[in-house]
Amino acid sequence: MGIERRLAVIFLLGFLVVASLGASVAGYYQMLYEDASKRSDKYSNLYNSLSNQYEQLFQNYTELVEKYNELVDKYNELLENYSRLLGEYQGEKENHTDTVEPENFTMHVNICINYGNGTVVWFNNVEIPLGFDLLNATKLVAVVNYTYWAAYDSCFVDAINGVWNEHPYYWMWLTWNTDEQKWEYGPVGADKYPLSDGETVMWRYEIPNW
Amino acid sequence: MNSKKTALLSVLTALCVGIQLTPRPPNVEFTSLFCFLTGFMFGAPFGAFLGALTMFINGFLSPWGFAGLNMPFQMLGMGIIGFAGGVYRKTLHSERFSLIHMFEVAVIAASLTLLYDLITNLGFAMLFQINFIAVLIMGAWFMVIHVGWNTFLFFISFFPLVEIVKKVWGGDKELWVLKEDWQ
Repeated sequence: MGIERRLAVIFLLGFLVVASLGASVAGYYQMLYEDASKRSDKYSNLYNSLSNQYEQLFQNYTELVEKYNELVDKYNELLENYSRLLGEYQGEKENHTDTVEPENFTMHVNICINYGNGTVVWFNNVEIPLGFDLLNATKLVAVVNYTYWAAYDSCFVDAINGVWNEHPYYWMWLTWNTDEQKWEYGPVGADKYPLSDGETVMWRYEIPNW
Repeated sequence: MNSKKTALLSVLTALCVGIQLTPRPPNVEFTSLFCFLTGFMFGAPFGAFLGALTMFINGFLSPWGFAGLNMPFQMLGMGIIGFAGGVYRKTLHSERFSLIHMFEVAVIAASLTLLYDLITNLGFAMLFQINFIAVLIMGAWFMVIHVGWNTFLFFISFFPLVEIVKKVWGGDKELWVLKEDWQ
């Protein structure tokens, strides 16, 4: 083999080696670059997403701060009003030395229980709170059993002092009409009827006129 | 193969395996040099046999683990390196070596190392069912280290070792036959 040909072969071999290794290393770094590029895209998207979320949160935060400041202003205003009212109250309190009597909050009614067998019991001048209804007033003078009917939003009395409704007998209530001087049947359930001061009412065990 | 050659093969194989099993960085090895040198000194078949035998034993004892199905590829690769030593010897026309020969053998070492890595990477790719190109790319820097190391090692040590072996062997014409002319 001549020297020149020998050198050519060696040069070719060297070139092939360098080219192969160069290609491998280039491929290696290309792979790393692609991997890094994918990561870069991923983190870029993540950053954009987080940035948007941050902006939204910042906007919400700003709104919240504004609302907070408004509430603080209102609170301060309320505090001022409260202080002013408190001062006025203290001033008024010194001017008013009147005492409130319990009679101002109560009233008196007459309650009659007619058992329908000739037994009639009267509870006169019963003291009850203002606005008390008939059912509560009756419960002050007798043992009352009753059932709440949701359909009528009202209570139906089942028994008074152990005398139970037993068809055809039922407990009915009536109120005394002082103008016409006669008993009139109650228009609503006993629990829906607020009594008036001095009123006279009667529970009567009877066969209703239904 | 006579008894003298058998003994020589055994000693060289033990030497190669011993060096191969010595703790060292990956791909920094002396086996290629010894196999090529053996092929160069004692003929291509002898070098090929030493290379294959060394990698066969190394396949079981390597600190990097049992070579498994990659062993035949390692044996083939190292066998080619040993065989190439003998072939290279036949292309030389003189026992007087110059700087050009040192460069020559360095380039040949680089080519043979690259070939060895291609063969073993092919075995690895087949063994683990991975794309061959992907295996090459993943091991690019290992190949660079391997090729670079062997290029450097062959360049600085091949011909000095040839001279040492010649002196140690004492001019045995049966094993060491040189051509007289240099063109």
